[in-house]
Amino acid sequence: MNFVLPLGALLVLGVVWGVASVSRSKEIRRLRSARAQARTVLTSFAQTAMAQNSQNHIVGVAGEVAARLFGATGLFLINEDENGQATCVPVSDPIVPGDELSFPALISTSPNGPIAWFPDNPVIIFQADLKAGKGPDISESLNAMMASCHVDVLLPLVHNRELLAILGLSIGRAPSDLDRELLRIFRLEVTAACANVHLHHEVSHLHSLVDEVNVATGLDLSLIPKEMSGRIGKFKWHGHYRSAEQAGSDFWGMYPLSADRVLIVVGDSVGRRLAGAMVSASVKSCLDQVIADKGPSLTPGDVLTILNASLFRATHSALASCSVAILDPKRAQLTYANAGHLVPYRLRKSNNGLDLCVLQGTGPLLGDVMTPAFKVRSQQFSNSDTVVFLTDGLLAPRDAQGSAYGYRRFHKLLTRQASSDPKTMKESLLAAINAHSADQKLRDDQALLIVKWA
Amino acid sequence: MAAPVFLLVAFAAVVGGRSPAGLTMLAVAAVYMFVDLVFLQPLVDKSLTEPANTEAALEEFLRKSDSFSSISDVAAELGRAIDRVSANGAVVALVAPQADGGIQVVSAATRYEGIEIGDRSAAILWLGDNEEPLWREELEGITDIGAIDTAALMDSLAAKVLVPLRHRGNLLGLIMSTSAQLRRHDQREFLAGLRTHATTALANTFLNEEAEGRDRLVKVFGRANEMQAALMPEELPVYRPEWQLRGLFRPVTDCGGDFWGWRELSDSKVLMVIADATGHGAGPAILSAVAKGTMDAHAQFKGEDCDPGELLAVLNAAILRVGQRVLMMTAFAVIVDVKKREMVFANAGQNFPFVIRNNKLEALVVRGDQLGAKENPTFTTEVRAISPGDKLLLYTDGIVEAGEPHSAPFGERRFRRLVQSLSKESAADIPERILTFVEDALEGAAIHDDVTMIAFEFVDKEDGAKDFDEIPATKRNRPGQAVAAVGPLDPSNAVASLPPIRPTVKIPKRSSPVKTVVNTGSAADAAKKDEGAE
Repeated sequence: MNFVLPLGALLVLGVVWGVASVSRSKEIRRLRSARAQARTVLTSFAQTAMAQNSQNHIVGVAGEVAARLFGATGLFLINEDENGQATCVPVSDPIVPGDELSFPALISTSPNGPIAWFPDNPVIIFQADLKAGKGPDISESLNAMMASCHVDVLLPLVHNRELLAILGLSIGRAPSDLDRELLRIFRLEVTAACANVHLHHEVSHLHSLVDEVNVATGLDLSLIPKEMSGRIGKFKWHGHYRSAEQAGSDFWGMYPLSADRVLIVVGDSVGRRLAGAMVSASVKSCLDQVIADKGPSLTPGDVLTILNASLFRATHSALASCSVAILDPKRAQLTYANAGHLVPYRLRKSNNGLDLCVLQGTGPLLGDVMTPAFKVRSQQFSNSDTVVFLTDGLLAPRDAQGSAYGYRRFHKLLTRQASSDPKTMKESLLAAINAHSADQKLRDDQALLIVKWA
Repeated sequence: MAAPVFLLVAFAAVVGGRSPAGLTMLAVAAVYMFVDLVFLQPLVDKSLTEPANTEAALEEFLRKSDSFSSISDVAAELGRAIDRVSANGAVVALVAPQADGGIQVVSAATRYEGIEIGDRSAAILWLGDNEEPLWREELEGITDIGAIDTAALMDSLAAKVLVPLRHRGNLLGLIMSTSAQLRRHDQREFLAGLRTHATTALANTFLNEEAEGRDRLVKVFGRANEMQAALMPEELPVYRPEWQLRGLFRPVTDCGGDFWGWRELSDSKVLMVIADATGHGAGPAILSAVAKGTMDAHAQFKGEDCDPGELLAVLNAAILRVGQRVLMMTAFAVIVDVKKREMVFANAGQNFPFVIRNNKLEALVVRGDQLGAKENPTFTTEVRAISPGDKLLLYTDGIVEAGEPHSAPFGERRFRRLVQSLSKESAADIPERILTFVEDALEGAAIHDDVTMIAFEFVDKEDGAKDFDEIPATKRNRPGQAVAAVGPLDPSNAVASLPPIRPTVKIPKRSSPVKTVVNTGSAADAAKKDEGAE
């Protein structure tokens, strides 16, 4: 038999096999070593990036790492600016943190383009994949973005479904499996570090906002007293104010106009927290000045007209409701007018027991119309009459079933407390309302003013 | 691996015996090599080139770390990662020092529920300087109280290894594992990587929790911003037969500390007030609301008898009461009487406004104490003439200091030149043109203070009547109709073509009938003041 041919073929096959095996084994060793080194570089990068104080600095360090690990010749930061425009900023080499922001280049993106798409799809995009037809539906927009920035890899930095930025890399070749694996880790590490900086800024912003609210609350409290009692002639009064949040929108006041007349004001600005507090501050200051300037000659209608003129604008006025009354203890007379506020209650003993009625009549909200007419009415006091001014925050607290305290309960409560003095009455009313809501956090501000012929 | 043996045996059989068995062996070897080369080796290669278990565990942890919403999530995922590389199912606890000095133990394992680990502040203090993983036996023989306390902490959780997690100098937590392994080189590398990623995850989780209320508060400030805008006058130009007025307010944050207002005191008199509270934000915004309410009440009450100095005194009392000398305010109040052709004004520490007259600027120089600083401040009321064609510009310092603190301010000198360059513009356009110009000049740099301006124009009778007639009657009253869009101003031309500024001051004086202190100095004194203001 002629063995030369099979033997020769076997020898050739053996040589090919041997060369291939040796080369593979070398490649495997190279790959494993490259991966180990790259992983060490990435771990060290993660530590360095976490010590940075700004996203630009992190990107700066990331640029160095990308050049080292992937041979990236260009690194770009793609961001959305305040106007919703995407801008591409080259991170120069050598990277000088902060420099990159001097040269933003606008990228045209559609509303459904990459900026909107990435938060829900935080995946790395390779131009090689797009060319091979393996890209997502928005491949065209992604390609356009890559072309604008001269990059072939896009790494979206997405944290909590929020796109912090997009890193664009120019590596100039089709990515290997190891490239893909390392880029995955790289993206996650850059994202975590950028998210950290982002969160630090958010927390520091939160602290500054809380500080601002605290300052505003201090000012608010200097304008509106929390608790006050007094006596004028035969009448005893007690006022109470509690804000649901730090700065509140309700206001109240008791102003002596002369030796024998006192002005009563209870109101509520439209808007809550700071917005409401601003309107209250304005209305309350206007009120203080009106009384300082005009004093004894004021009528409830004058007060409301001046307050209305202060708030009114042709468009988007600030609004407030307000109940104003002037108590004349000598004549036992209450003159009052109302601008869209809860009408005050009057409790009076009658032959049939107790008579609860409201001091009727109301006008438009302050700031609502240019020249409103606030009708002034008067009411004669009888011995042991009580008048209660309040804001809707007293009726708003809800129980566990979600049922508000409401008018019906409040009316019953008022009649039960008719014989109490103002302070005791206030305490009983608040105790019952708080018990209804099981002492939950207040949902709305509460202002209450009780005047009683003692 | 069997291929070389097959090859050798086949070769020996062929060369030695040339038997059929040798030939068979030769054929088998050939087939094996082919199969190995084409099918087996790639599979082996794939398994050899895939990430090691430790690397895969780290990547998995990193991938999931973005979705952690609590410290328990971090602890659970740490447990899974360590379990993956440690053969005997290591239990992991995450120990987090608390602000009150205590420590919180979080673990997915029920064995730690309710465990008492006592006061371990010495351990926390000692570990605060340590960054590397510690094995329990390494602590043996160390007499430092911190090391002893750390050993006791590890014993209470039966931990064999402890990894401190430090971020920006703070000890955020400790990974404690019962695994006695994790000592090989690759496992140590794994621990180092895990420490880095766990620190990031823990820091971000804590920060996420802390920042939780921010969005709600940002909305609160957004609504406050809208409300503050509603408390200011509308910004559309106001047209009257003899005058025009336009105000502008741009707060730097959601709530600004500036305030501007105007009011018609009679057919011929108009009051304008501009004010700037200390700083910006919610507190100063409340203060500006106080100023607004006070001004409105006083101006309504006084009507045409209103006096700027008296108004500032009234504002001072209100700001002093509310600001309690912590927050103060500067303000400038001016009343223009177009019938008498005079301006009456007073100042409370505010920038001197400009009168633009015959293409020249004159500053309305008068000084006074800030609002809210003293119980009995001095406000001097001064009077100057105003003629048809004259314009008045009131502004707060935000526009002049624009660019600070990160770059050079726009500056008083440039601002004066800019205002002078706009002398031909109508008052309705001036504030917007100034703001656009300054923003362009800053080339994108942020303005870090509120910007507020009021421009007033005593319309030249002929031109003014013509302009006013062109405005539909329905739009002559507040709010006025905005004039046609104004073209962009070329910053380079505008400034470069201007001559150097030489302030010229011509001040007619008279005794003021008002209650406040009146400056009766000569025109020369006023000129000196102007120079001082430069």
